[in-house]
Amino acid sequence: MAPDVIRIKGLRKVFRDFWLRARVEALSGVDLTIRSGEVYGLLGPNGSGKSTTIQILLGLIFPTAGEVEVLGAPPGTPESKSRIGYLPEDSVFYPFLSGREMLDLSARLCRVPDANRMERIEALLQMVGLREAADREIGDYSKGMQRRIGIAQALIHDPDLIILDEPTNGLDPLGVRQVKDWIQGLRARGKTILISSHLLADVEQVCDRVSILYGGKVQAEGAVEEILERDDRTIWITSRVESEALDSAEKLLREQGLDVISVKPGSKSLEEKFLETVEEARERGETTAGAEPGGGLPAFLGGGEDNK
Amino acid sequence: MISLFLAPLVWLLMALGIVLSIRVLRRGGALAVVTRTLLAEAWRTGVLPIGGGILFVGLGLMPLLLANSTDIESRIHTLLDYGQGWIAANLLLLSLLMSCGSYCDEVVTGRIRWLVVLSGTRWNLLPGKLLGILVALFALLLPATVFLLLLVGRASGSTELLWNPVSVAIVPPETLDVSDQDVQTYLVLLMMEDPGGWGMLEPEEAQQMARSRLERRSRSISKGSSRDYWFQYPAGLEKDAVISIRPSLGRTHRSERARFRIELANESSEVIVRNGERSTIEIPQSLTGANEFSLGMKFLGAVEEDVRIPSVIWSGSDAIELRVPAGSLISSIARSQLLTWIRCGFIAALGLTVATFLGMPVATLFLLCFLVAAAGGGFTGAFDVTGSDSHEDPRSRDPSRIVIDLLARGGELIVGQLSAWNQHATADRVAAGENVTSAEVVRGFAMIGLLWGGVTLLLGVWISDRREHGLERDR
Repeated sequence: MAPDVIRIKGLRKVFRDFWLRARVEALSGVDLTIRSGEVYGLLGPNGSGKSTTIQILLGLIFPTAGEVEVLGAPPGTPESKSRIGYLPEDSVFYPFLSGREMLDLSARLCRVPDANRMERIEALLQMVGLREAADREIGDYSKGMQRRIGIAQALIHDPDLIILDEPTNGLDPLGVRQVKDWIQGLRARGKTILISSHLLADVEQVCDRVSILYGGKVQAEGAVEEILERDDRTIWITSRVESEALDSAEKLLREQGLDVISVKPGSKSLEEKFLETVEEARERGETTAGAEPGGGLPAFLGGGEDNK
Repeated sequence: MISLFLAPLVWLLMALGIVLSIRVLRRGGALAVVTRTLLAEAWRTGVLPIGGGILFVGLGLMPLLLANSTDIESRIHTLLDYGQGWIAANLLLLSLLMSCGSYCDEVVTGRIRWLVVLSGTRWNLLPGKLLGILVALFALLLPATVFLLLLVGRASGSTELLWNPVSVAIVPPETLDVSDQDVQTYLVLLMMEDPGGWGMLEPEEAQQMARSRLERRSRSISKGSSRDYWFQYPAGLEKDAVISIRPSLGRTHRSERARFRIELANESSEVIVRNGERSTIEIPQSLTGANEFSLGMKFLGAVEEDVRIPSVIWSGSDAIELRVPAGSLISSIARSQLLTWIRCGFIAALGLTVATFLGMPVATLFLLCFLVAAAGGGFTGAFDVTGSDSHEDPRSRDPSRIVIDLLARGGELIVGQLSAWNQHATADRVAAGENVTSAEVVRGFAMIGLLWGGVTLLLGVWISDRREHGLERDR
């Protein structure tokens, strides 16, 4: 069994006012374990305690009670921080720095060696499709471009644990698809990823396990297939069926005592149509002021290149 | 008008310095990149371009404002005094704004949460920002000082004034100071003379009264009597050294004159002085190179027979002093500006630390209050209850009074430290022709830069490390 990367036991967090009176109990006895190499989704409505949990894991706020261990160390220690990549919920980066300068700042603050710093910066710019815009100030970037540079900075020091707070926030469907591909690529390279998101469809597609928080407690937890499984429904997807054949199939099912709840003709999803259209425009040579298509994960991210 | 046209050139010099610094800091570790980011922030958000513009245009306007002054000496004095004051005020305000603004912006935007997660932030964020502010201020200070020297050179008509050894070292006579040992000896004599009066006093009260008497006596000469003043100057007297005196003749009108007989190196001469006006006594050639000498002064009374001046009093620390040529104006200004830079560094450290727990408006207000208090020199007198007129209050033994007195003493200690801050404001001394020594710069660097600034910054790092950085806005 893979070792635990994050271990939380009986975690409580009470926010107090200026006079130290308890104001909000944001977490009341959360237990979580995230294993190495898995993609874990932290779900819940606003105010459920997702952000508080993440802030505690990052050492930004201190727990009121309970035990927390991140990568084998207490949260907030330099040892644990040096192995964590973090994408904040809002793109809060310096608007007067260029994308390249931003990655340089992040790399140097994470103590990436000089020898391969520039190489990593270029590789990540290529990955997130911002090579052309690398020397523009971040303040001039679109929201999606800022998100992309945020993802790049979270990966610059090749972290073992990547915490992504709303990673697809502000991204277009193309960007969302790419982020999902990157997450799956990172998992394949042995990285542990914790995602907090409201976009449940995205989480469902990439996460191995999820937990749903409400009222500062874990209400449900488990593998995605397990917790989404319904034993009262079956969905078939077939090739195009003519109406006569459909009628006879339905008749057959009813004779077996089964309810046919819904039968729909096949159609593309809007996402598929969007991606097709953009792809066609690119093939025609149309240019954009935004992010370029980008590419796959650079080699240094937990791959064959040992340049840490 | 030329001076105003020079301002853009000086601004370009500043811009060059900052852009070069940003370029140079592309290399280096975490500290260098935080420094670089702050410089980029101050430059690209317009703080330095606009701040520098205001500073240089203000300096450039100064000769125009003084154009009607025909007296070259007073024009130079004003230029030096107000020029350095203008530079110091601008730099202090900019360091205050940059330090508070920079850190508060991290908190308000929520960027601090991202920053503190990066492993190299803890020991590099505040020191790196401080370093950035210091580089930015130096990039302003250097061209501003060059500009000021150019203006002074133009006002004097030649550059000789800048290079010649015109600034002087000020040496007070040792005799004016009353030591604890002097007080003890004097008190023993008094008790022997009047055991019934002095012997009945509380020891502390007797000491205060004896000190007060001695100080009065050492600072006055009655008509017909004489007094010796002892000067020491270990470096050896220069050729053009003088004694400068500013006597106080009581209620006598400023136009009335009085006479002194001066005994100096076996030479005797007579000088005539006016009430409150500064006069100089030349030091004989024979004393050139001497490390110490004694000045004998006999007060002969008023020149006019119908005027009665019973005594002369040396009031203030500069009433009687030795002035020795000690260096060029340019070197004195350079050292004075270095002290300004060190003081700004402390303000920046204080601003960064205060911003770790206060928001922008309150942090700025806090620093402004500090500057106002420090400009007052510490207000130590407000807590000073010693003196010959003070009597013990029986209520002072009350426990609540003890607490209040302890708090007052603590306040005195803190505010009293601010006088050190004022001692390192040297612009008016340079303008008055006084030399600012390298030892003063070293002392200022050690005390205000390293001790005050260092402790403040460490406190800021500690607070920042202990603080929760998440969810302030949300909750």
